[in-house]
Amino acid sequence: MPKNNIILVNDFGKIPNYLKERANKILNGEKLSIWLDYLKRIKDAGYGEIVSKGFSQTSIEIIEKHDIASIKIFYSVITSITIKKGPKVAYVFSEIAKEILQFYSDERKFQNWLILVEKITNLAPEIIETILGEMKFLVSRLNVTQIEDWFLTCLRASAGDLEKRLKLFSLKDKEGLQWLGQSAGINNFKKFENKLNIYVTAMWGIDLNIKEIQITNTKSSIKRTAFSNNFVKIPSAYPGFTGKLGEEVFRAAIMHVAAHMKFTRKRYEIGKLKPIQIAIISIIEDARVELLSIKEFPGLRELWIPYHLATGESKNLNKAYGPLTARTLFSRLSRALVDENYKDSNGWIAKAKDMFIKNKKRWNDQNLSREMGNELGYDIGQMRLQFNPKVYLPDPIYRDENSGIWNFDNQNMTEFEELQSGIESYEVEQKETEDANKKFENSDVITPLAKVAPKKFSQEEEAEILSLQPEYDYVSARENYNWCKIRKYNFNNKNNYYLENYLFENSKIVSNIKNLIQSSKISQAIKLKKQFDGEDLDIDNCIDNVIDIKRQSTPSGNIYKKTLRKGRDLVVTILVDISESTNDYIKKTEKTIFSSLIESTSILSEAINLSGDDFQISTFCSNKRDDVRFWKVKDFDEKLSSEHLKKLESMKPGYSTRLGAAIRQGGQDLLKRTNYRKLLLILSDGEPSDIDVDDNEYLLEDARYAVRRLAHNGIDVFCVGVESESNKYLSRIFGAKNYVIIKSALDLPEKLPLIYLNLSK
Amino acid sequence: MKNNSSFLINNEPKYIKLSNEIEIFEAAWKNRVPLMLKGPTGSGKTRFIEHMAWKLKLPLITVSCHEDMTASDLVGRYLLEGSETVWKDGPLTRTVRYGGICYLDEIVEARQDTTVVIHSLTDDRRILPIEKTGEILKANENFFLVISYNPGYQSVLKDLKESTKQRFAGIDFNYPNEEIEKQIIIFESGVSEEIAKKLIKVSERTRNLKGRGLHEGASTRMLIAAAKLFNTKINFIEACLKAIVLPITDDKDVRDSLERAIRDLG
Repeated sequence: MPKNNIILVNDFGKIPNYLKERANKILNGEKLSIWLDYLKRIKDAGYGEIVSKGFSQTSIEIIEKHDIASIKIFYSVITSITIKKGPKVAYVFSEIAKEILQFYSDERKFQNWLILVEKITNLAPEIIETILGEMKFLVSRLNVTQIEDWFLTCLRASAGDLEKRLKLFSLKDKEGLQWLGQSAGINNFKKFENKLNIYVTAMWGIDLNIKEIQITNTKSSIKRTAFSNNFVKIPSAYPGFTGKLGEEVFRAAIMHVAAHMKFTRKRYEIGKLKPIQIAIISIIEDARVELLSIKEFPGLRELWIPYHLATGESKNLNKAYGPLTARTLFSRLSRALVDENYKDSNGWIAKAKDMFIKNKKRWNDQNLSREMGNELGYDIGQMRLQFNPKVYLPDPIYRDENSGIWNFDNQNMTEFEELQSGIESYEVEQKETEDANKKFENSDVITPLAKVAPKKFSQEEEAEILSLQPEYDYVSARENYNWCKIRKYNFNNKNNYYLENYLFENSKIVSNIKNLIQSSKISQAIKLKKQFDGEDLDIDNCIDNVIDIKRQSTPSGNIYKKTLRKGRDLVVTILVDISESTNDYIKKTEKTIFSSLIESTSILSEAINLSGDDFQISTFCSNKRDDVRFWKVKDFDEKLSSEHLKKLESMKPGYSTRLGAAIRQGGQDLLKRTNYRKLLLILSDGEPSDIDVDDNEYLLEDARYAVRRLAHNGIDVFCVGVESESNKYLSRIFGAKNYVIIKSALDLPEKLPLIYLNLSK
Repeated sequence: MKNNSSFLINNEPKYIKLSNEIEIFEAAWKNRVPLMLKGPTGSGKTRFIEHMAWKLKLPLITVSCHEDMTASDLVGRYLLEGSETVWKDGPLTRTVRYGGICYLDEIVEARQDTTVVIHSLTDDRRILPIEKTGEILKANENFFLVISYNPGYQSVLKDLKESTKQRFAGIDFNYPNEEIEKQIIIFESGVSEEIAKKLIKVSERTRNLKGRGLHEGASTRMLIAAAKLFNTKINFIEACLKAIVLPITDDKDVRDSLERAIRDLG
């Protein structure tokens, strides 16, 4: 340790001479001593030469660029990595830090990056090497907050599965890329989907079925929209268009497709056309439908024209834009046809524009595009331009890839398969994975409608995906789309009339409850007395009033009575948690919580049936986010029958409680109902949990978020906690008034209908 | 008729004919067949009935029905006057007694047990028994019952009883075609033809969303309101937003999309 700022040669330890010289040059006395202090600490800790080397080399660079303050953090990170992953990885880190340093001119940003690396090291040391390998790529595209967001998302996505985790972070996995896009804020079609759907419907009165396709390097990926009838495939993002621009480019793309649907009334026959002719006819058709749309909605000009940037008006054409290719020419043609202010020097384009404008009266006739395309196609044949249909993409970016307006039936597909980029590929494509075993993996993230090859589960059931639900991550304060897979499971064919017997044996309770419901206020008229107006005189009050008058005091005037009969307009979904914990015995008995749950559900169904309210019964449990199991025991509009009891008793408790996902799924059907009041009644025995989540707060916050979402949409969510000790989490998820705890599940069958009565008043 | 003369309409309410509804109304009146006017809100039902009352020189007594309306609100009730109780006729009884058109607006809003009081008036008996006074009132020869009914937004819960429905002949109202709607907007607000056309385009956008985000599209009444705002120096987009978009939806996505669509009209 240098004392009194006098530096001794020994203080440097075994670092190369050039570093010593550099340190002496860059650092003045005090800073040098701090630096040497850290160097000594590393040396004394016995991390080995390689760490000392890495530290000294990189730290000098850091000091040179950002001064000494970052060194403390750098020191902390490099020691963390050494402890967790050994000296070699620490050295790799120091090398990468040197490169990353070049990306950040702002010291704070670099420090934030260092802090992030330390966080990653602490939370997931096993992937630190992988993520360091991708770090340059990440830093070049995302800011530190975004990287952190992505890191945390992937961490959750992989849960305890190490293999999957490595794949996600190595960016070799579709899903990892998807989360990356989301973190970077470009993967945002989902965000605008609803709005854009409404917009198209408002504009044209048509409903589009839009499917988002993730941008990846695989074959199934698309760069332009594609459509067939009212199916539209849209890239999940247009790179470079983020935020508001992102929304606008999606809007432009969808409106372009809508314009085709409105004005391209018949698909063109391909006949003997060459690909280049098809491309030209398509461009003219694109312009025709856009101009017809603009005629109806002049504002659309502002939506589309700004994307047309192609120009031939450069002083040095060849140098600035390269040689004249079919694609550049076509881009300019696209612009010339729709942008009346654009003039192009190219004779062929000028001819096309001229011809198009001269035929303005025929814009309503779709044959115009074909006729013009034929003629222009002949001209271009003389130019001997290179045209490769396999790589051709129509410009600008919002246009579709043309296949939607052509009839590909009975054609020689090989020649045109690139132009028709597989609208039919809605079925799941199977891609070969790169591993040696050449196993096939289902790329089931393509679309929620995708039918995924059934996996075999221990219960020997086949589970199709019912829906994909988002999940809320409280750390990043954001919902991750399509996070949970809700699967529909079949019912066992178990049938021992257990519940029927139960209802029979407890017929007294059942009839008591029935009586109670019948005598309760449900659907019954309420008599109101002392009314200002009404159907009948309220004799008692009439007399009082007359007395008042005789005594010369002011009568109230409220001398009527009336009966009030409020119609009930209520639907309810009962959601029963059948996780493993419900298999426990109720204290001091030999009965499980599960049996009490289904018994009380059966009694409640009888009660609700009697009240005339429409209801649904569902049960759920979960086995990680990919497998949230959901059984719809009884649907709305179905008449309650013994079949439903059979289904209910065939349930087998198991797995975990992913409450938020179940709430979303249960709420989905309720959302579609038009009733005045909608109620989601949850029966559960414990707080949300799942084996792929170790952060207790996470699922709790997610459930809370899901409840708030439903409440926002007018659905009341109420929870009955059974055999539950703590009410803290229930109150947090559902709100102070929206839950009740039943200490012993034995009381449930009698209490549940009463709870329902109170709720449904 | 003496007692209802204050309900006569003296100035002609402007009405632009949509189809043969005037002939149908006159024929129904001639034969005293009760009428049901069906159609979405703001499609001109009320204006039509005012026009017909004026044309036929009949007093028009309108009752806006609501959920808490009772039979006594229609028939009448005893009130205390001094130390006595006095019978006061309700609007229905009043029309039955002295003649005229009794127009029950939005009848499904009233409870079904309230509306059954009209049953005896709407078949060939044409009588109104008043339970409380013990009177059986024979309808004046000029008594004519008309109800209006918007089948769209009410749920199944709020439907007319089958026995009530089957007592009426119906006239169907829908939003007028573009040409007529344009005339109506121009007449009511005095805007130019161009603006009227643009407003109709706005209404088409909202009508496209019926059942896909909106319960009802914008009515002609709303278009007139927007036109009037525009005429008072509010700019077109703002007028449409305030008079049309804001009132019909609370959904942000729908609102944004409609706003955008209106801007796209140029």
